[in-house]
Amino acid sequence: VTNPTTISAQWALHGKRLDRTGYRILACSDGELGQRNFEDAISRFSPGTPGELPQVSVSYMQSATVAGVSYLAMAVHKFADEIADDDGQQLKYDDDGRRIVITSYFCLPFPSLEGQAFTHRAVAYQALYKKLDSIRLPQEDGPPLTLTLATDAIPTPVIDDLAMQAAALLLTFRPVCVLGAHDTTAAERLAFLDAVMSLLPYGLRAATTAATWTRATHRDHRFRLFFSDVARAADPPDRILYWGQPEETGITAADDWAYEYLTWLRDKAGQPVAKLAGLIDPMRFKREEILPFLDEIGIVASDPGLNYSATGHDYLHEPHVPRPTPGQGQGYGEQILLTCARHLREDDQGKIKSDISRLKNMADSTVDDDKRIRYRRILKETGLLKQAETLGGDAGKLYEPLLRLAFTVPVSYKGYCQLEDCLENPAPPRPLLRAIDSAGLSDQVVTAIIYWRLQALDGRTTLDKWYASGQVSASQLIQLLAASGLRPHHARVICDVTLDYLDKMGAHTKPTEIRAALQRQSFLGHALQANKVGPEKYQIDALSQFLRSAYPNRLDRSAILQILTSTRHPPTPPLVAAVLLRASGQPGTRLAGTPADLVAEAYAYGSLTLADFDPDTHRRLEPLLPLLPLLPAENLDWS
Amino acid sequence: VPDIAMWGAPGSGKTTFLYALDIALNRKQFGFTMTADDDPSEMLLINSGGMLAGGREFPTATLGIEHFQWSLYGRRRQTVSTGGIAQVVDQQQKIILKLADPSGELALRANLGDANRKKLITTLADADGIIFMFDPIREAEKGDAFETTSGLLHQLTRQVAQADPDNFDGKLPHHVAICVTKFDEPKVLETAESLRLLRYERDDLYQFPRVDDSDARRLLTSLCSVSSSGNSDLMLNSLDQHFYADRVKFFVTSAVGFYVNPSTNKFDRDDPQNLVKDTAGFTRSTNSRIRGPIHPINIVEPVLWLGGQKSRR
Repeated sequence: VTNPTTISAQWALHGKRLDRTGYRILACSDGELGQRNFEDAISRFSPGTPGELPQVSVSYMQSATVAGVSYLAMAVHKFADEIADDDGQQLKYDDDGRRIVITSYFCLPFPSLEGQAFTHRAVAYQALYKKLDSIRLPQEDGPPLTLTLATDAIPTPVIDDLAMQAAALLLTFRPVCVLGAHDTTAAERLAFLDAVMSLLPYGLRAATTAATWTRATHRDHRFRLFFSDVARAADPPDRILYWGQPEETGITAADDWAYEYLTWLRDKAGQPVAKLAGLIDPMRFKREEILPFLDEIGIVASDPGLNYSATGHDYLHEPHVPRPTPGQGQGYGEQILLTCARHLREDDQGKIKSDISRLKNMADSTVDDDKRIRYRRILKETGLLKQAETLGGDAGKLYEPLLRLAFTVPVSYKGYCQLEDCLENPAPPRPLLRAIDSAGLSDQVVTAIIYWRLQALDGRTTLDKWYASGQVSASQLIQLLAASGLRPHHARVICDVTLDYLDKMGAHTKPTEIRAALQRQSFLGHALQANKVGPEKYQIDALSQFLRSAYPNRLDRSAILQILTSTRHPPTPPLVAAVLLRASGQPGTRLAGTPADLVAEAYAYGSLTLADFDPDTHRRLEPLLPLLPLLPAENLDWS
Repeated sequence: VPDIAMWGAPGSGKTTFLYALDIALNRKQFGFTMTADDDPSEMLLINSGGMLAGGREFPTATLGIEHFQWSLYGRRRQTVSTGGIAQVVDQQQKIILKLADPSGELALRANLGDANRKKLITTLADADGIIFMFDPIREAEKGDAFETTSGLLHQLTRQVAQADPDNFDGKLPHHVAICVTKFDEPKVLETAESLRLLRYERDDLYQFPRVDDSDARRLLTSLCSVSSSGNSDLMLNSLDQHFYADRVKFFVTSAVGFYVNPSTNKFDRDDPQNLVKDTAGFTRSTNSRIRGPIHPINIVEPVLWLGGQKSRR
């Protein structure tokens, strides 16, 4: 269907004359834009010293006199000696005999291009080029040209994965360079530029700079999307695409919304073109203009109510990563987490599924420590981990990517503590425990905690399997319990697990092994005290059970001395209490005579000799200590 | 690492000078080999040699500013002091050339407001060394050397002064290699001959004429006297005023060199031109072309001289 539209094009002819004054505007239209505007624009958007011509570049210009009016500019670069039909008007070689490059530059008012003829159809660069390339600009100044463009001249863009990648990468705001297209013509490259731009809102053409070729050593050029022979030395480097090799493109979830946009484009399989062509309001490649667009198509929805700059929440105690400053905004991952929290609050199941999909994509890429800290802040501030429980059977699907994003997996004890901090609850919900188990457990402390909590909710199956697997032993659990740095409620769990293990697996463990393990840890008296495991009553009961496992029979003199005087740490009152209870043989039986005296003397002896006194004090105390019977040598050989 | 920037009017031969550098290194045993430090520079290095030596084509005029980095690797004899005793030693040397090749148009006063001109000023200000190209042919025809030099010098001086006002003493800190280009042009050759400045090296197989560096300034002064505007002596004075005398050195150069008579395999005083220049204009079927093999003259020397200076950073 031919539906022509007429637009006014301002123009400039750029080249050389025989006067050694170099390249300059030879002639231009006498419209709103003047010679200086054209000179500035052509210099600013130069692709560099030419190699093979013709080439085409597109850029834009803002009206100096009318606010909000912008122009789409197209420059056609040719060697003068290759322009065949100029009636010999164009100088071919300069004073030094060098080939002259002629640039025919056209400025088309952007609003006109959204006119009737182009409703729901993007203006194609190819169609413009076809029209403009046929125009021979005059050597003298003159009026703007009147061009008639018809929609039937607009070819349908060929959408392939490389074009989709290029479109997505443009949203990273870094220049996108296409390499390896040396066998293609300028027209073919222009068709690619068309395809890419058809995958972005039409309004972005008002701020797009693109070129069918740029010179790599002209490193400061200003094109966003361009072809080149090799990658220029840019800092930061351009995003690189390889012609015909989309599999070589390095675009990952770390590219945040660009990656999501690529996923969206692929999912839509060509459908976006019509929709995007309808987004005709001029846009710029700026975060504040791109994010609302992405939000509109359902990729990113910022949550102003949870914006860092607005919440004023305190930091987590992870001080090394600064909070984004107001205006800096969140990254894509943070946006997704905030959006997901909002969707959970609104119980918007459909969007939550989409959020989970995005989170999984993000989690599949490398996440650095700074991001993890930021993500954990959001988890804490939004209560997302707790909220996710409301998803019921689907909660695990959300927990899985959250764990990979905000914590390291397999989950370590440190990671588990971070998770508890985010949750602000020492008892994670069952789906979260299951998700942690599925994500993998990197050490035995966190394994013991997770399995202990799960047995309280699901029964003993997992715990018993662990015991029976041979991956854990009584000695190892005793060693874990004595580890420093455990949170008290975790130490209590380890203690419970150890006692449970001894109860269930005691028959498979020799008392001598348990005794040796306990002896290495000062019979756990000091460990339970240092780790603040439960009240003293709990400690006494626990220590009594440990002693029973190590000394199935009543404690004899040798055992009492071993427990109270031959360890690394002084005996604690709960340990003495446990020894007394175990030495009495039967609960409630008062010790009398020698055993009780021995316990008392050994307690005094151990407390004084194992205390961390200075050497002089030890020397002064030594003659005053009670005389104890010597321990058999084998009992001392545990260290 | 000294950064080296080019400076010269349109058509003064900046790009051709750089394109001839690798050929020059292969013509004469300077003891250096050159390699590129990144992909764009490598592509340029490969294409430039091919264009000049293989295709015998002149590069088109530069648009904007080209940046590239080449490195020279070799050995040089240097005097070192060990325990107060001076010794000449053969030392490994690497000279990194961070080169900026701007469009000559940027030097023109008409382009004062050009965004790329501002970049050129910054590039020159940040450079350690400057290769300044004086084109005697352009000066004879156009006579704008002072115009193209003076404006840039003022802008450059202002930028350098403002960057470090406490230490600026009115002189620019750069080392400057002032190259009188197009020595192969008959008018330049004749002027040097009339001044009795031509020298011939005994061991030069082709017996090309040369002008000793110590005589280069004299030739330049003489060429300035035939400037069409009569202002080129002002250019020289202006350079003298803005740079330290001991940091300026003059060279008489030719990127394509002289034609070698195939029958004698030597320079032929009666047929010296290696560059065939048809009348510029509208209808020629070919552009300027190079007749025979390229024998660059004094192309490596200014670069080695600048490369051997210490970086200001």
